Amino acid sequence: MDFTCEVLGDAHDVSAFDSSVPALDAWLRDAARDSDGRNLTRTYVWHTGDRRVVAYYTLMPYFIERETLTKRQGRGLPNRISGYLIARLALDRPLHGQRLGSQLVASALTRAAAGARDLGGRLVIVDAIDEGAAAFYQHHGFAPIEGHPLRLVLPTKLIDASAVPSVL
Amino acid sequence: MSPKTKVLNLRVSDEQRRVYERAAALEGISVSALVTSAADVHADELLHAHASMSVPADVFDGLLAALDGQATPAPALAKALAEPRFENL
Repeated sequence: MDFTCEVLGDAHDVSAFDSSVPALDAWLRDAARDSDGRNLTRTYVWHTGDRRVVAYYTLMPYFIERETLTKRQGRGLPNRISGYLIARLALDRPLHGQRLGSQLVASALTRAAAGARDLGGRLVIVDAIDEGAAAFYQHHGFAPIEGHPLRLVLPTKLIDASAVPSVL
Repeated sequence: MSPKTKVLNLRVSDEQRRVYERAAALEGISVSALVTSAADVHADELLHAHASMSVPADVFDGLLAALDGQATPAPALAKALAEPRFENL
C-alpha cells in the first residue's frame, strides 16, 4: 500500500504541507488539532511511513433539515437527514495530477461508510471549491443539491454498493 | 480556484492600513493577499460552524426519495475502491 491513513495526531508533521490552497493548509497547520480535540471534527492524514503528511481530509457529523414555515409536520415524515460532511480535503502539491484525488475521496468515503455502519448516517455531503471540483465529485457519484450547485451529496449506501465485495 | 475578477471595497482606519502593510511586507505578499487569505480561513470556519443546513420542503423530499430509491454505483468510485492505494488504519 502506498499510503497509510490514520487519525491526525501529535506525531504527524504538517509543517511542510502545501496544497496550493492557503486556507486548506492553514486549517491543517493551525486549527485541525484543536477542532478534533473538541470532537467537532475528525481529521485523517495520509503519509508514506515517515509521518510527514501528504494528504488529509476532515469529516464531521452533518444534518440536512426540511425548511418549515410552521412547526407542524406531516405525521411520521422525517424532517432531517443525518450524514457526514467532508469539510476539507487536500493533497500535497507533488501528488497533484496522479489521480490521487479519487483515492483520497475513496478513503474519506470508506470512513464515512464505516461511521454509518456503526452509528447511522444516510448521506455524505461535500462542498466543491469550484465548478471543476463539482464535476469531479459528480464523476464519483455525488449529485448537487437543487439550488446549491457547489454542495453535493452521496448516499452512504452507494459506497457499499460501489465497493467490490471482499472474497471470504 | 476561479479567476479573481471581482473587486471588494473595504473601509479601514489609517492604523489598520499601516498594520496590514507592515505585516504584508514582512511576509513579502500584497495587502490584498494578506486580507483575502485571512478572510478565506475565517469564512471557512464560519461556514462549517453550523453542522446543518436547511433546504425547501420539495428539495428535502427529493433527497429522501433519492435515498429510498435504488443506489446506482458510480464506476469511477467503484474503480477507486477496488484498487486502493491507501490503507485506512
